[in-house]
Amino acid sequence: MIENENKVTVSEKMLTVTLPPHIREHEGTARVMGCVLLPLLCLVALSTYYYGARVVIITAISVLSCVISEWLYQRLTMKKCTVGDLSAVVTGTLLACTLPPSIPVWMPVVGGVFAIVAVKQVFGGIGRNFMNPALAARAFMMLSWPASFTTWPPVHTRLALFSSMPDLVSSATPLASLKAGEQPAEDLLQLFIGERAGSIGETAAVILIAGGLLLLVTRVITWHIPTAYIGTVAVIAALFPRVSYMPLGTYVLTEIMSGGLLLGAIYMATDYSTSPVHPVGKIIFGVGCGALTMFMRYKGSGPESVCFAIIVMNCFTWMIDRATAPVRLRDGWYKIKAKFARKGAAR
Amino acid sequence: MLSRFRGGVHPPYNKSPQNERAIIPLAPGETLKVPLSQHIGAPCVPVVNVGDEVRLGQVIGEAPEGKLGARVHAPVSGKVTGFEMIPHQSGGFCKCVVIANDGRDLLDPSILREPRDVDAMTPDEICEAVRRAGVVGMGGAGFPTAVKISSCRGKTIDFCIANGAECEPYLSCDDRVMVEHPEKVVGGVLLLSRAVGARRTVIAIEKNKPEAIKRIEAAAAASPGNVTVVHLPVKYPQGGEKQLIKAIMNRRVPGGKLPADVGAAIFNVSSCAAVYDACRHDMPLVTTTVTVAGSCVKSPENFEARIGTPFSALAAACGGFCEDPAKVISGGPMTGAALSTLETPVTKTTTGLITFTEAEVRGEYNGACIRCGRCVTVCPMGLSPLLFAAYGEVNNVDALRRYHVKDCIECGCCAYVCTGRVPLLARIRAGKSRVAIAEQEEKEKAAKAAAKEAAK
Repeated sequence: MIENENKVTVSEKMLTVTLPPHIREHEGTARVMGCVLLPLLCLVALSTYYYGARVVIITAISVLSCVISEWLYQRLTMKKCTVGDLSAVVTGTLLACTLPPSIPVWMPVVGGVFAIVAVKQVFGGIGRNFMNPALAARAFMMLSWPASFTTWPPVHTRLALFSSMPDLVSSATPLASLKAGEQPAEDLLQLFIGERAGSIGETAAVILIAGGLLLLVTRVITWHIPTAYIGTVAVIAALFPRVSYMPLGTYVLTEIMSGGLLLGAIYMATDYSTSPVHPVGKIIFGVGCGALTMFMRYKGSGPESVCFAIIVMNCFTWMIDRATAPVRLRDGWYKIKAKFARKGAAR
Repeated sequence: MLSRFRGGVHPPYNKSPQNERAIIPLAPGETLKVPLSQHIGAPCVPVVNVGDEVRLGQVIGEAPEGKLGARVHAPVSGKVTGFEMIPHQSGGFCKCVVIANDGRDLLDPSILREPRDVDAMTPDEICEAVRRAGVVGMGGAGFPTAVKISSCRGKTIDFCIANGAECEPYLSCDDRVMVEHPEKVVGGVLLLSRAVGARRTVIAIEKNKPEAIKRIEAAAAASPGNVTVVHLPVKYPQGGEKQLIKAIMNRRVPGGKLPADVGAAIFNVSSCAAVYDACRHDMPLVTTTVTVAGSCVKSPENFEARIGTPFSALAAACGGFCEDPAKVISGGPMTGAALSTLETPVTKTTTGLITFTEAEVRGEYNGACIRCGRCVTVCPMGLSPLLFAAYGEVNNVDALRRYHVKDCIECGCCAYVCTGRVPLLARIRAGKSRVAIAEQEEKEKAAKAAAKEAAK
């Protein structure tokens, strides 16, 4: 007994025991979200230059309503609070980026609450939602208040900070011109730097692309979805041009830089929770998004379609994931061979 | 010639300065506790009694008849004072033989003073010598080497590969063995190659060990046999059997098959050295090279420790800790096991003692999967670890099988890169055991049904 007691006194401090691996790459969800946030904030800044401080107010309201509703929901349902992972901030900023700058300032509150509560948290929070929260919220708002989504103030308009603007003159977006079969008024350079009517964060191709490269380099996204998406759009545009008198190259580039295509392809379609995880699946997903976008642009009732194209493809994600789960090569061949052998025997 | 395997990660290797420290033979302590289970398979049955005098190299535990196992020998001469259940490095407890060291290191008479002529040995003799010496795979898994040799019989073995990749961070024990005993490694792999009837003999070393490559190449040139030294690219888990086969032979091991089925026999370089000693002197495996490193260790060293030495003796031998460790690992940081106490003894498969400070441990927590797909990108087996975690949580055994959970080699790459910090490897292990249980149940059911059918 005495010996045992002695042993207890020489025992060391408690050691942590976990399963391997015992080292980890120093990354976390917050860092990934931070990388996404950086280009989005640049977009908001540029939009502020074009339209004034109203843009900042809309973004702030959108972000705050997302963060507060996430915090409140998790508080009320007694879940672990995940506001710190910045995913709600990203959702709020993305939502703001898809809204017209002239939208009534109270509207993002509805969108933010819908995005976080109805789309994200109800399905289990981060990683479990099947639809992109920001896009689902935009679709919800678009269907509820269609008039607000058809008014596009021309660039360099100083918008009122808070009040609604009933006498605002709407200008034609490049997509609307294309829909009407006309060449847009903006040249390629203007499209590239975002000097055109459109949503807060969708116009500046240069920032969108630079941000996309940043996400690629930091390995936040892979090339599969954006390349497949934009590539499909380019191929369809080149095969079936809508404006016959435009040079083909110009037309294809205009189609790519109009509407929310770049924002959608680089920042929305690549959303982890709502896109496939396997490389082949990502390509299928991107091609599907591209084809649906162009179909709706050509045949749909409105000019814009990226939002609906992505949320429709979101619904197919589980199916694509299931179909493209990697099979080890040899087994695959064995299985296919076995299948054929069995079919032959049945005959 | 070399082909790359897909996936993998590049963790910080942290192999300096221990990779330049010579192996120091560690004097055994007063009492050694030798575990009777130091390998994959059934624990050994003790063949000594309390009060018996044993000599260094005497058999103290015999592998049970007809079961997978390897003998255990006394690492020192002295007196058996009892049997004890003590914590094992794999977690849980294990029966140990406690030997009081008399400090004289009297050799067992079975050990040859004069080396035997190994060139005259037949494959059967080599296999028998390896079995008698209780050699096991020293890369960590601990598969009995003699069983591996006999399982290669009757199969066409194209390549006999000595695995000197040592892709685990921190560890440098294999590196030092190759630098200091290249002739043993080369001699051992040639013996093994003869035993399995291989057409070609290869020693594979990662490029970050230039000194080991130089020494082994010199030893290979001096040896009578034909040995190729392959310089592997540096990537974790390059030393995994299946990754090595892909790199050297450009073949894939199908799920559920063994390397021998595609014509490969792979042995760790330290095992090769042990095989050489076993064949030349009938010297059993009673020591192992252990790297002691990590941020809490004052001066990282490599020790040649007797099996049964407690880890605390290793820590004391390199000057103790400069900071209290919050986590102590036996083996490498990617696949090693965290220890609950430093009194755990060194076994034949021990490769390292790695320590981590409080600050290094703190970052670990269970987050949520955000489906970023990085685990899929790095998985060297081309699996989808995130699906295993998701289906494991809801106990969906069918889905786990559909996505080949049993093909996982447990390298830990997925958990290493996980953005959401999900303990993926833990979930996968749980999933694997669930699948194993389900398969066992099915087998029993089928057996019962067959018995019923027969009764009719």
